[in-house]
Amino acid sequence: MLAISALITTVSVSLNAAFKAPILGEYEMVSFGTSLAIYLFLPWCQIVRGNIVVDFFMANASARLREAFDALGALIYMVMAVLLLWRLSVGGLELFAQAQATAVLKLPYWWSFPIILYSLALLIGVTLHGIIANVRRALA
Amino acid sequence: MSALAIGGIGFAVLLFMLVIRIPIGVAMLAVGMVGFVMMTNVDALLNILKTQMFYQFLNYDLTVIPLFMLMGQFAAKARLSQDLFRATNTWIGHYRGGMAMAAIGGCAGFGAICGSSLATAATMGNVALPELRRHGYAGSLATGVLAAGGTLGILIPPSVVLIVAAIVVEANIETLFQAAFIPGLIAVAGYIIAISVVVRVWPDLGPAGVKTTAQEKLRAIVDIWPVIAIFILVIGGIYFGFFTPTEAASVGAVAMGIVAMVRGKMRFRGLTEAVMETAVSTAMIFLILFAANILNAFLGFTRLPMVLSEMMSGSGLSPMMILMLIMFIFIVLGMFMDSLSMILLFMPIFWPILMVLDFGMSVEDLKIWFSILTLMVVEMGLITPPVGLNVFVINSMAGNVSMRESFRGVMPFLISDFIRIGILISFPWLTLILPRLLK
Repeated sequence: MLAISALITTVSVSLNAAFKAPILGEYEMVSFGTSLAIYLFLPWCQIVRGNIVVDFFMANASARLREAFDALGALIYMVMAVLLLWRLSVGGLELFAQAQATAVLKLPYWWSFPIILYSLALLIGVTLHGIIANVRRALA
Repeated sequence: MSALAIGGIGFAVLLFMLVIRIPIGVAMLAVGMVGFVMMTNVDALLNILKTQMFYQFLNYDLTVIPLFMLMGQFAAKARLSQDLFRATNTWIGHYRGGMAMAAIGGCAGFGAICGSSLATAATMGNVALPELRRHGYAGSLATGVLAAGGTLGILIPPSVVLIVAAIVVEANIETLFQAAFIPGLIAVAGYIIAISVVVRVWPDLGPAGVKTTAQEKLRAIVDIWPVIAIFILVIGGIYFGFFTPTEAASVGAVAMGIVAMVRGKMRFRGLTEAVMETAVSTAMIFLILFAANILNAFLGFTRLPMVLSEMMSGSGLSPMMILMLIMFIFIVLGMFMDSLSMILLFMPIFWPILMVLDFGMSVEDLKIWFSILTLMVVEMGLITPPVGLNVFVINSMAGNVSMRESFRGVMPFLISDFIRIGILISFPWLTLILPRLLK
């Protein structure tokens, strides 16, 4: 949590400073930092149930049915996260092999992959935990 | 099975998933991925998944979204809402229904530094709702005015929803922010007129306040200088091309953070709260953005949007009728869906339909006009029954007002919304003139 807040503030402060003395490659730093923060936000968003749903039609359904559908939603999300984790590891390795980097600062793209993959792994854990909780409540 | 049928079925499955409460981003992603595989093959999907998400999140233009949201969160913590409300109330409070008008003014002022409707409604509601009730305003008007006023958060730039719309139709964010300004002012005027009509017809809904002196008026303006300064800095900076939107948003976020610490006494806990709130909305939006990309790639393969577009242009309906139809569909969808998902799901389908029609203006102008109109209609979804998010929020704050009363209180403002949309459709230059002048 701390890391995230620090990340965002540093990003904006460094950008702010950039006006007085333009820092070379400021765009790259900002997009790098922000994009990593966004990956880290994904599991958090799932924990606090921040992903938006259309609530209207199920508002009167039984709690049990809602739990079941929530479990289904989390299950689909988990499958997506597993798929993304797998594919992005492959993609990251390729970018590493090709030594792709940003234009100005020569930041290697693969640098961000440890954090991206860690976030996705976290996301898988969070969704799995959610599914178990949902199923338990649905059966209770 | 024909490509078109797959597209149609995909869309039906998507809507079904939404009905059973699957998160919108997850549903879009699932349908998009499965559909993509059906239209191409597994390898093609696996191939784009390798880097698609990486490059999309790395996009510099998108960084503007979390930054503007952080700025809005800081604004909510800066306790500027009291000062804004007091300032507008000092100026117009003595008219009949003046305090309700002041609440609209306060919302407009807050909307000028915050790009989110819910945050605007909640923040202003906290301050203005108890005051309105204490001064004898009816529950329906008090809650209605704040729920409607909250929509100004998005109608007046900066606006997160408008940024997303700009991304979808590939418009310039600066241009759309410029274009939204006059329609936003019309919205404020429309709401104020709505209040004055309502309190004339039903005088027991709200009283007039006391007159204030010129000195008090001046003082009130001085009190809200941070709002004015940051608005001029951020929006002025974007309008006149000093900043890119991302730069403006970061400067705004930092400046607002400082104001929040100095005036709002925001400490470490408040800072963490603001960042975490931003984190949740950012993750939600980016998941949907990523999902929309995959889904639209799939729909593109099925040619569904193109066929719909040909069907529409061959239907014999005039371009204007098609536009009206689209607006109507948005209003109906808005009764159940949130504005962001509507824009991401349906704008990519509707925009190609409109793009080829002749409205007597260039495609660029049409893009701006359509984006602003869409913004207006999807915002109505926040105050239309049965699911009006702003109304829910304000109503729960009021405690002793029934939902029915709140939705009744919103009605005059909805009528004002309809009239405004009619005006903007009839006079496109109201939207287009500012971008042209500032070019």
